[in-house]
Amino acid sequence: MIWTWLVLLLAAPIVLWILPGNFFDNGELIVCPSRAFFDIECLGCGMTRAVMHFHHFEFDDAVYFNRGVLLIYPALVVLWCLWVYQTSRKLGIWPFGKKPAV
Amino acid sequence: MKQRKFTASLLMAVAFLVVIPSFASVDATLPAKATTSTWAEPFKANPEIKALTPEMIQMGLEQFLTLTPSKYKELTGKKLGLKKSMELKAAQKFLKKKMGKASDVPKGLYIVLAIFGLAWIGMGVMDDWTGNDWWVNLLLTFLCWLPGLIHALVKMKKYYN
Repeated sequence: MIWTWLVLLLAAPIVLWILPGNFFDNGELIVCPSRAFFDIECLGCGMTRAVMHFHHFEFDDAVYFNRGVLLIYPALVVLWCLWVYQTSRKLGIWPFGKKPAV
Repeated sequence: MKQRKFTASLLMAVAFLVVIPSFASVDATLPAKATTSTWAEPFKANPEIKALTPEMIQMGLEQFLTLTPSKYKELTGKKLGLKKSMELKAAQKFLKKKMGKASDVPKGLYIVLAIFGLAWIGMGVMDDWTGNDWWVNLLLTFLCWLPGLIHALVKMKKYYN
């Protein structure tokens, strides 16, 4: 189970890089309840598209879709690094520092 | 006599052939020019529209409303930049609002939000998260809800005349 989680974690950014930057741009599905019920864009609207463009180094588009991406993307990178570190420490395959006690 | 008539008619035909295409080209360009400039004309004084590039203003309205920085680069070959990208978004929001495509927060919903201590969301949405009202209200709501509610009700006049 932990191995699957680690593989998924490591594969996620690569899969996102393989997909085109505008992959989510033309989606018709509205998942935000604020938009679905009241037709009002909330603070998070456009964040998926913004993160995708930021991931492809298309910063203009990223900021256009949601300027909050300037905070969220670095936070996501930190979270990803933390998860990779914790998971690999649990599995005992973290290559740097002390090996965890078994 | 016959020869004269023939040359006259020939000249007329040539003149007709030369003049008509020039009129046609004028006719073909006129509507395009008219449609490209009309939507920006009434809002020329607004800062959101002032910030736009000439290429954006020359576009059709529908094309402008669906424009993204990458599409702009495809069309013009120029990079838009972070500041202009945000200005483009603001202008599109402004136009959608003016066209009635993006609805503001209804009064009833605003009051409900205010009661639940969320009036700052309504204010932020209506001000496009600019200005001071929304964050002041958020701050006041954190001071045990009641100041935020009072502020929201006082500010209601500004949003609903």
